[in-house]
Amino acid sequence: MAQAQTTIPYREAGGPQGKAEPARMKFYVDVKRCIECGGCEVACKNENNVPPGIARIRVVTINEGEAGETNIAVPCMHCSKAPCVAVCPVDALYHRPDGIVALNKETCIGCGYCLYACPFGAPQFPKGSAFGARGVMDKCTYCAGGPEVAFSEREKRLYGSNRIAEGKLPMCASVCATKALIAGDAEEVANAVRQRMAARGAGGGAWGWDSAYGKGL
Amino acid sequence: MEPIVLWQHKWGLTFHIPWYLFLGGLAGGTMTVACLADLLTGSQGRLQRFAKAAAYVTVPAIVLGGLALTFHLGKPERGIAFPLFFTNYQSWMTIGGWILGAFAPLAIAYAAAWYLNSGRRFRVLLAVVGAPLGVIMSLYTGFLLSAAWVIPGGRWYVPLWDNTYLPVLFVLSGLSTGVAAAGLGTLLMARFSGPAAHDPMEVAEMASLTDVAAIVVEAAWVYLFFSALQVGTTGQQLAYKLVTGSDLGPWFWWGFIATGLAAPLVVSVIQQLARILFHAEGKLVLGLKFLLVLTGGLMLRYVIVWGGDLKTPLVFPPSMWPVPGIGGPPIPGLGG
Amino acid sequence: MAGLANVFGYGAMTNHQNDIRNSRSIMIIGMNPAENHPISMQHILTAKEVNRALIISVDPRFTKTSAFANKYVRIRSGTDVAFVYGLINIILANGWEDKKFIAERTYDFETFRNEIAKYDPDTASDITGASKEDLLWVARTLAENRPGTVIWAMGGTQHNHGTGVVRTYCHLQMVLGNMGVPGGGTDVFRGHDGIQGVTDVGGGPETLPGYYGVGETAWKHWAKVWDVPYEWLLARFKSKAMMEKPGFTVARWYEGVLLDAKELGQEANLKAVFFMGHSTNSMQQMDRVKKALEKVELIVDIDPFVTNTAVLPDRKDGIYLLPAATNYEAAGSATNTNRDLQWRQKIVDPVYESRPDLTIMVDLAERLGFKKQFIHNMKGDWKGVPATPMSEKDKYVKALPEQTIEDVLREINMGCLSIGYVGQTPERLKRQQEWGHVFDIKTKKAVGGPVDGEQWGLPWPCWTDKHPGSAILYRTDIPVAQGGAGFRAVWGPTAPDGKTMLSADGSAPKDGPTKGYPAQKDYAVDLTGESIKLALAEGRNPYGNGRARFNSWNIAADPFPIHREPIHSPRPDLIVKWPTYDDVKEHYRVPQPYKSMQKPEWVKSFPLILTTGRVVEMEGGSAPQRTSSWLVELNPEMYIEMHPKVAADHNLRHGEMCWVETPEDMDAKPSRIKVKVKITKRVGPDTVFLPFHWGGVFEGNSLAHKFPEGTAPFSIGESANTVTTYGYDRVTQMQETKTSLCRVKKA
Ligand SMILES: Nc1nc2c(c(=O)[nH]1)N[C@H]1C(S)=C(S)[C@@H](COP(=O)(O)OP(=O)(O)OC[C@H]3O[C@@H](n4cnc5c(=O)[nH]c(N)nc54)[C@H](O)[C@@H]3O)O[C@H]1N2
Ligand SMILES: Nc1nc2c(c(=O)[nH]1)N[C@H]1C(S)=C(S)[C@@H](COP(=O)(O)OP(=O)(O)OC[C@H]3O[C@@H](n4cnc5c(=O)[nH]c(N)nc54)[C@H](O)[C@@H]3O)O[C@H]1N2
Ligand code: SF4
Ligand code: SF4
Ligand code: SF4
Ligand code: SF4
Ligand code: SF4
Ligand SMILES: [Mo]
Repeated sequence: MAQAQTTIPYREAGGPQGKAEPARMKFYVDVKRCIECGGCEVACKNENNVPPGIARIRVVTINEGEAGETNIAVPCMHCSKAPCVAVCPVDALYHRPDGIVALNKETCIGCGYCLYACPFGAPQFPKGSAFGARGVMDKCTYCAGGPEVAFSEREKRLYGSNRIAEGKLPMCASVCATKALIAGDAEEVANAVRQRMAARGAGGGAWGWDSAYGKGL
Repeated sequence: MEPIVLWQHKWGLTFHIPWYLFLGGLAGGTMTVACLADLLTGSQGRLQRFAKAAAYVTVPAIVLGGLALTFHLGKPERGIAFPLFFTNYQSWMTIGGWILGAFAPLAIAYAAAWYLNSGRRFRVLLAVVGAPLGVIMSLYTGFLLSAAWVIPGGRWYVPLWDNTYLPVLFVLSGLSTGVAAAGLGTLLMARFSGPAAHDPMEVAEMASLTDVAAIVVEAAWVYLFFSALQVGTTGQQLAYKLVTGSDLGPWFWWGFIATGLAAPLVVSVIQQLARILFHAEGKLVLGLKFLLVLTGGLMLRYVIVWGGDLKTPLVFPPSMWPVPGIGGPPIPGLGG
Repeated sequence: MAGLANVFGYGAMTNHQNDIRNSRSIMIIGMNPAENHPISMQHILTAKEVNRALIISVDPRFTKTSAFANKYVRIRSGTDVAFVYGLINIILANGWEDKKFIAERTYDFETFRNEIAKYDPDTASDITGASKEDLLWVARTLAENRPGTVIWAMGGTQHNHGTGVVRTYCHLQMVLGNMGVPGGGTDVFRGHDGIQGVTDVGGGPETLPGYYGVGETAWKHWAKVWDVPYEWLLARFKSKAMMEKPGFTVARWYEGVLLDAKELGQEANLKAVFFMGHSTNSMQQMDRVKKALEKVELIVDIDPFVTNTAVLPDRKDGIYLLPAATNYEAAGSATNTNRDLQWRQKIVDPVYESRPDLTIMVDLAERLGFKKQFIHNMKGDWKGVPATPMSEKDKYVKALPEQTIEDVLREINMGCLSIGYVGQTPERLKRQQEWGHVFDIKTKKAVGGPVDGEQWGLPWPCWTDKHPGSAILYRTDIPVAQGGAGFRAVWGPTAPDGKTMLSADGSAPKDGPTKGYPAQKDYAVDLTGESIKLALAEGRNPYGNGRARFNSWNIAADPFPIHREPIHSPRPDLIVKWPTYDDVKEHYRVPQPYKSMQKPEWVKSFPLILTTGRVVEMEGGSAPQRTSSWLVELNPEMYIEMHPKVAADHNLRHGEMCWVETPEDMDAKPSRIKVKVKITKRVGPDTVFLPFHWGGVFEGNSLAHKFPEGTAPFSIGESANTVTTYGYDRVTQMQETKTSLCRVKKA
């Protein structure tokens, strides 16, 4: 039932055979731009009704107050060869055709295995239930809802909004104050990285890129 | 540029997983030694008693361990129905589910065979399967944590859970704790079930010596493991520091190395000397030694699980970093 | 604002935030845009990347903004004049100044040069704590990377000589010739999203809307706009003298309640206080505010949230909380820091019993007996406002039709001629909203469509409904019709010393007279708009073409800014050399002592510099933000930033509680607050920092039980302003909340 409901964004240009091919959605986390304003964190919570204690995206600051202070916004990167997908015993995590790593909360057993597999610490668990059990996992959906009928009550309750089906980009990237967080199809995102690399005469500051998508743009 | 280390504190407070890994490993160990003892000694062999004790210990260990595992899950009911839910055969969780699913009934059947005196032939049949399955059980607890080879490209981000050393370490620890638990079981059974054909001390004594051997091998393996960490990747070096130096240090040194490895060896020597010199029986001393080994085994699981909070640092790819961001005429004294 | 107005003529940011994309150097001094103007960082960082602009951050704290700077210079709080004049000293010594600009467009550079001589690098370095090398580096970078902008906000203004500080920033840009050019300018980032508009329409006590002041001409002008007889207005005041006397400011109104009436600039004490979107925990000396709130007869607080005001005073009655609607529940225009106007739609009807501010004001005017005059210019449908007597049906009609709010803007268009608030009609603003996509991100200018050539937001001065607005002030390379201008000829054609105040030949907006010229007669009071049109027809700017002033002779205390030690200075030796002002008997109706309040011995018992400010998750008094679970999750509680050395010296650890104590001031009683320690190297070892957003705890005691049921915010905490001390700007009476002294103790 799952994937059948999904609305997948397509590339306009079309694939190698001239056929339209699914987009490949990625994140560009530019550490040279993020000012730790928290806008993405709050907007995500508002958009997806994320309960306190869970952060689908969070901003990490290193060297606070000293030279080299750097902020990194960490959502789920929707990795190409996602370790979380590989280890999930129940296939609750799966790749959509557009590369988004989606979650099925109806099958997740809440084992936490994905949390260990993920290099970014993206999977989250609600705290404080009986026996220290953590309920099912929650993570960034790329604002693409879940394997339910798009825009249904059920989808909203379990996963939050489905902006992708609405033809919009993720909320966090849309509100980013400095365009430090960029979301979209791999081609556009790579262009943004290239542009910034060119302007800066050096790196694009794309943190976590290699781990999430492999080397190269 | 410093590497960036992400920390998880999610499991820091849960006790289910260390207990499960400990009990599961131990059950694997007891099962293996029980079956081996059963197979290798004749029907009247003095190790029969030991085999029986080990078989009995296996049952509560695997049941409690299984419960710990189940209640660690956010949705225990889906975990129990694992044959329905677990569809990803690439995942050690799924493989482990089936190992556990096979092991637990076998262990119970084997113990029941002892209890019901079902006759040796049937037991042997079970033991032939049980001995390797026990090893697999212990081994899998290690593979679960160091799942590297199921991930495309071997991308596994918990440096402490090194896939070369950890599974073997868990097997060795499973054996040493298994033997200790069985030894302890023998002593306790003697205490509660009155006089028997063989002297329980004799059996316990033998278990103790076997355990010494297991501990020595385990200690050597731990040494190799941590030496490798110390000179490994950045993440492994950080993991080494975390376990041996930081907050986890006391748990590692006192809880595992001292309590689980050094003390039992020392106690064994003392106990042997006392026996030879003063002909002291030393039941209590032996019991204490077994308890030390068990405590050490538990501490090892805690240290390994908690140490898994440290992720492999994600380093900025050199091509993306650093950014000079300076233009215009050159100005003296300008830093990046 | 007073600082800018006294140099250039208008009290507003000269360029706009997008224009920073054109800068080649960016000095951010006394402002922390990464926390307080996050969106502006987009432009700043783009300039850094694309233009290779050099960013310099001058701040006592290494802020989130400093993290992006090419150079961070730590200065002691309250020493900006010495820092900036130190830079100018180096610039002049090396001949890096823009001689042409200075000669043609400024007034009294010669005397200024002598003043600057006092701030040689040694002196500047001694006062500020910045090294001589850093001063040289910054001066050189600014000189070699033109155009550059200077960005500031409260770090520059919240001082006893804040107006002076602002003038030094302006002087720096004049010396470098960075005025009136894209990528240059004096870019003060104003606070709230509509605060520029509030100032424009007379939010201050010293002026009617449009900066006309409160003199007779001003009243007569507005009487014409409101279509009421001047005499009718006059009759509502006790006397003509009181009518033309500036009122109390928000900074010190409470002294009007607390001080003996004989000490005040009016006969009686204040009896009532009326808050409309302002929190008491943002007021300095909040312990005195508390007393005033306990003594005053009536308190009205009009706010969408229950603020600190409701719980601060120990009193049972006489406090009225009126639920205001938010900007999402009402339409209208807002004017931002770029002088841009934007039309806002109503998103939802006012919730519960809340009502938009305008309907509340109309009701108030009605009860006070002048509703007819008050709504005279509002031709719209008045159904929204209850008639007298109030009927059951009308009682719950909460929103005004949009037409009414449009009429309010039309009244502003009619009256605020002085600053060219003429062309921003509701129709044009709405059209821009529709065509937002055709505006260029760098110039803010529309390309094509019905808005072709218009500047986004029609930034004032926008002289007619055809004028595109002036995105960059004082820009002479374009004609007046496209937003060009000289400096405002507001001080007449000649200075008191007889020198000309009109710009030299060659420095004038294109397509008009090449020489300076005075303001068009009556342009600011001619309601027909004919005077303005006359000037425009000849390519002249209605306000003339004058000179920017180094010497602001009308500011008697310091025509040239002088470094003045903070009232609470850690340097007794410098108090002697650079003292604060003489005491002032009356300023905005209250006595304003300076020297008699400056005690050199304080530093012995209060050795740490206390500075206060903002964090990104919170806003001002933060009643709304502390009521949001998500923001509170990100920044849950009140704290003090402390250098590791200070913490160690006081045996304090991260997360422990400590008392912060400041010297006694007006009420001869020291104040203290209990806050959590945050150890960080953002501050140096001589300074501690307090965010001022919390309220609901007073000197260690929670006031949570005093909130009306269900209205307590998720996070309450000590207010920094409980311990901020006496000290106010000599001109504007802005509070000196950026520099004080304190000590900390383990709690
Ligand atoms: N998130 C958020 N944004 C806001 C606001 C808010 O409350 N929250 N408030 C808005 C309002 S009303 C305003 S006015 C603006 C204010 O915006 P800012 O002026 O940026 O605000 P502050 O944090 O008060 O002060 C800025 C900096 O001045 C430094 N400083 C202190 N003393 C001195 C000094 O003597 N010299 C110099 N050079 N620097 C000094 C402080 O260390 C601080 O980093 O922000 C607006 N934006
Ligand atoms: N120690 C210290 N104190 C300071 C400062 C400092 O740097 N240090 N900075 C000072 C400065 S620059 C400023 S501007 C002040 C800011 O201080 P405040 O003016 O107190 O700032 P806010 O909390 O933003 O106040 C806005 C209030 O208006 C309400 N509100 C929002 N929308 C509406 C509306 O449509 N109608 C009505 N009626 N109310 C509305 C909000 O709920 C909120 O309670 O703080 C000053 N105090
Ligand atoms: S970031 Fe983590 S959770 Fe997201 S796809 Fe990658 S491994 Fe999976
Ligand atoms: S927690 Fe859920 S999603 Fe994560 S691995 Fe376990 S079953 Fe899969
Ligand atoms: S993509 Fe959506 S769900 Fe993911 S972090 Fe951003 S806002 Fe949250
Ligand atoms: S919104 Fe953008 S700048 Fe702000 S914290 Fe998130 S990623 Fe960083
Ligand atoms: S809070 Fe609003 S006004 Fe302030 S920077 Fe963000 S969008 Fe702009
Ligand atoms: Mo402000």
